[in-house]
Amino acid sequence: MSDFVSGAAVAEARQTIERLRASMRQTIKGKDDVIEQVLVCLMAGGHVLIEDLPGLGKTTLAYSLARSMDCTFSRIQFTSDLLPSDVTGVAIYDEQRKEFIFKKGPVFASVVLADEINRATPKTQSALLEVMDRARVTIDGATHDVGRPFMVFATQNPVDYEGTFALPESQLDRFLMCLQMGYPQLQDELEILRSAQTAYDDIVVKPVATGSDIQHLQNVARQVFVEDTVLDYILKIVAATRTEVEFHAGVSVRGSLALKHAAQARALVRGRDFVMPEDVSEIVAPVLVHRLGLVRASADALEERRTVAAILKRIVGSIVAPV
Amino acid sequence: MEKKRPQLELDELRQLKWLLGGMLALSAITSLLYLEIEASVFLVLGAILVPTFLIRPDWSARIPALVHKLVFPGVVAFTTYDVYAHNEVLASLVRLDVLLLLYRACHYRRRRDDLQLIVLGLFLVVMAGVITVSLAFALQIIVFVGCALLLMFVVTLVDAQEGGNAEGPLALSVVPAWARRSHAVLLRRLRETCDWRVFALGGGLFVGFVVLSGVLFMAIPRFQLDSGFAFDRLLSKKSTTGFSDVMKFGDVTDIQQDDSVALRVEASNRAQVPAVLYWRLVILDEYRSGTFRMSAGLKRDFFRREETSMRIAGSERLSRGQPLSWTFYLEPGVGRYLPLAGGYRQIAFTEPQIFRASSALQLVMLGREPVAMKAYRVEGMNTGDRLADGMREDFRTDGADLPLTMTDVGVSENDRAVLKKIVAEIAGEADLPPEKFAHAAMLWLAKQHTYSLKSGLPPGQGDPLVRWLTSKEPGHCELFAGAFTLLARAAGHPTRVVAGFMGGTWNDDYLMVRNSDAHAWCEISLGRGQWLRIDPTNDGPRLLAGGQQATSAVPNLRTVERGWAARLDRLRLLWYRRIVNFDRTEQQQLIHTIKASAEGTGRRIREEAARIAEALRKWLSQPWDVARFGTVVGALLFGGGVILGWQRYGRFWWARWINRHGHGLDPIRREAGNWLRRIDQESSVREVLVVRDQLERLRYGRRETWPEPGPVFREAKKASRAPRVGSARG
Repeated sequence: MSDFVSGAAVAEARQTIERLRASMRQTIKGKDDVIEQVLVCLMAGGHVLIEDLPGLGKTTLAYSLARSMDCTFSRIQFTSDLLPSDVTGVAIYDEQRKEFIFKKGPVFASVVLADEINRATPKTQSALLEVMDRARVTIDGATHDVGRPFMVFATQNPVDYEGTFALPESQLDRFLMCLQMGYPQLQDELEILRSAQTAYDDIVVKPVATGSDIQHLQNVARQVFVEDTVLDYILKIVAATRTEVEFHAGVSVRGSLALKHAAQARALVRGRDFVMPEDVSEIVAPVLVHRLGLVRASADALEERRTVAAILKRIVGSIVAPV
Repeated sequence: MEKKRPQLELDELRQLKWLLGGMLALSAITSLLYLEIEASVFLVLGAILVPTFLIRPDWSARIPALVHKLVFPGVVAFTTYDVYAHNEVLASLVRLDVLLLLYRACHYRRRRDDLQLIVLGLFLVVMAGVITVSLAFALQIIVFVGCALLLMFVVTLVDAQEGGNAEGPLALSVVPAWARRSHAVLLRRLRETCDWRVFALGGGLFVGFVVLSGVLFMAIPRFQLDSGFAFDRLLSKKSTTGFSDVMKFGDVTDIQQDDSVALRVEASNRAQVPAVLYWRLVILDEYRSGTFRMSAGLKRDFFRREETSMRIAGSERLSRGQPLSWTFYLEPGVGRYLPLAGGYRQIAFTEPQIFRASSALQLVMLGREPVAMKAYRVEGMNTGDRLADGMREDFRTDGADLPLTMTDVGVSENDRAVLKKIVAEIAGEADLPPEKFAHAAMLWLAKQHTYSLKSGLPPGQGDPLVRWLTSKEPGHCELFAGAFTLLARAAGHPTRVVAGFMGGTWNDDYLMVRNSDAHAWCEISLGRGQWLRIDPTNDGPRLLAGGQQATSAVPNLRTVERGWAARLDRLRLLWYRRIVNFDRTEQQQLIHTIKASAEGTGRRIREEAARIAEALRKWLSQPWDVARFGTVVGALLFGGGVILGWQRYGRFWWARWINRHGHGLDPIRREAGNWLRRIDQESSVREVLVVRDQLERLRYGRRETWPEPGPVFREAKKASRAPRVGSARG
């Protein structure tokens, strides 16, 4: 493979992405920005953390994405008594074959919805996070690939904290983006009501791409060109978070890499083989918001995220984009 | 895509305002370093408090509320006490100003406080400048004005952003949000938000302002603010060294410990400056119990009455050649007597002076000790070793009518007998004429005593100088001069001690005389109004060693000053030369030179243009043949081809070549960025969209995928006009 993307590859990628976008828009009404960010995350090979109130379409979003790309989907409801093996799978002894057989857990799917991840114990959370990082599971010394593409949609309820285990920042860092669904517009909600679907698996979504298409797109996204001044722009933004007095710590190197990969993915989603400063500035908030904590932490997680996003907006506004 | 340059936020402007205010206060407080007012406590306080709060504005909120309540009553009480206790209005005013300045620099300020800070600082800087006419003032005012202009600019910006909504009542004990911000972040933001054009424009305006001020400074007639407002009379000078009417033994050597410059002297012709120079300041005639002083009689009878004038006429007659003109720049702290080498024809000041002059003693005593540099010009000054005293005729009879204080040895009978014995030893029984006696006495002294700055008077009864004479103790110049004076007077020759400076150091084209050049010597009367300079300290040992004439040239002008201190001193003298104006001639000459130079340049340009036009006209009026026509067409085609070739290919080749061999942003990327900025971002005209895509690729895309830049830029030029069509439609 050449070290840069051909125009034809970009055009082909854009067609596939537009099909995915159109397919998801049929089920997720009025959330074009969220759909685009999910697509960016998918192209960048990252995972999404969705922090929002229950019942706003998080599961539907993940399910419709999985169905659109003709991939497997599984949903894990995290509870405090959930064990790591309930997530990753377990090796059980087969009497007939006289050996241990690995029984795959629900994490072995292309799109995994980890619902209310903060309800599980840290041990179970970390089992999932390890899979997210390496895309494989190691049980009793044996390694099992979960397959590609692999994307985790983790959700957190930002209101109900009773009996939860908040994800530490080091683990939050592993999510490429943190999104909020938000309430739909009334007009869009009316459309949802008209469709009268009760459960997410009732939704009929026609596949418009395959898992291998997505893998190809992810490879193309990695080859999107980032010019030096744009890299410098990323660095300036990251550096500004490190000197901002309102944050108790700045963005890590993993955070700056995430920003770069997400910008490359956004450029591809927009049909370009090069990154522009707007690709960076537009995804700064979703990519960095969960990686930064305030010095004066707020009791309300949503409120804190909003404050961090506002500061990030100020930082981005204060840095001259390279032209 | 939003490409607008970001602006500083309100909080950032407030933070910048704080920093500028602090720097302004610091630059103003530095005046205390050279303004000789007792304010060392304030200086130390300022040096600690202002930078501390400058760096940590949040600490200002920790100042107890009680301090804010008590500060103004406290300042009023302090100033009242200060004026009452020290009786120095100006010094108290300056201390009051510094106190207020310190307070304003340390608490959160509103607009009126910032303006007050500027006014307080300006008062301090201008006051110091007027009083000291120091070189530091010239530099300081530039820094201060820069800070003040910037501060006022930022205050205006803050005001504009607040939109008339003030921050509300100023809560001095609450840390405002801007005070928590990092200075490093502000610097980075300044770098990002300030366009180099703004800097260039601001810098250009500032330089223009300084140059214009400089030209105005040279052009306007000088006037002396200090004498006009009599500021210096409000300020009492506390000099640590200096010559006075009374000199105890050791006073001159004390002055010698100070290495600072006391006097700068310029001569109109350096070649005529003699190798030996003695700068006379004060004559000490009366000797009593170990102390030489200027007697009350001498002061009363030999100085003219106090007068006020810009000129002092002297009694010196010019004998040969053109007179040397000497310009003196006397630093404060030397005393109220003007250093002069001897008699003079005329002394000119830059402004009317109150003085008492003595043509008999060739001394000038100012009405009060100067507190700032004092400049004067002396014409026809006698630098020789013989001094005509210009006394009345009746004094010119072998010293009989000279004041007794110049002939009286002023010691007890016993000591007088000792002196007589020594005189007999020196001169034998012969009654030597003054000059011969002086040589013999100097030889005798040089044999008996060596020179040392550390000399001890031997213990015992009687006059200390006589005790020293009879001992073998080493001595300094005052002892040598004093002892010689007593011996000469004992031998019947009227003699006096003179204190002043000897020599100096050449720094470029002027002499630097330091306090360490302080010296004491004698003048012995030759009768008939003639006095001979005798320097027993230096000439005695020289006579002893080589038997030379005592008045022969002694290479006592030290070598040339070198190094940064000397260069700085030259700068200081340059400043003095600029601010000192004895008459308008020099100033007028300078203005004429500038005018002539400007006119000359303009004339040369006009002449050159006329010459070229004439040559072109001649060339055009010559008959046109095929060869000429072909040459012109060929040249035009070649020129056009070069321009077109450069436009189409050359600059891109050049840009690529630069890119391969240089650093920084690729010129093609830069040009694409420029076009992206120029074309309307909102336009949806198809041509604009297409060219924008291409420009974006050129700016941010991989080089291998670039379209040909030339056509893209040409299209961009066309498309940049398209949005206007679109908007007209809209």
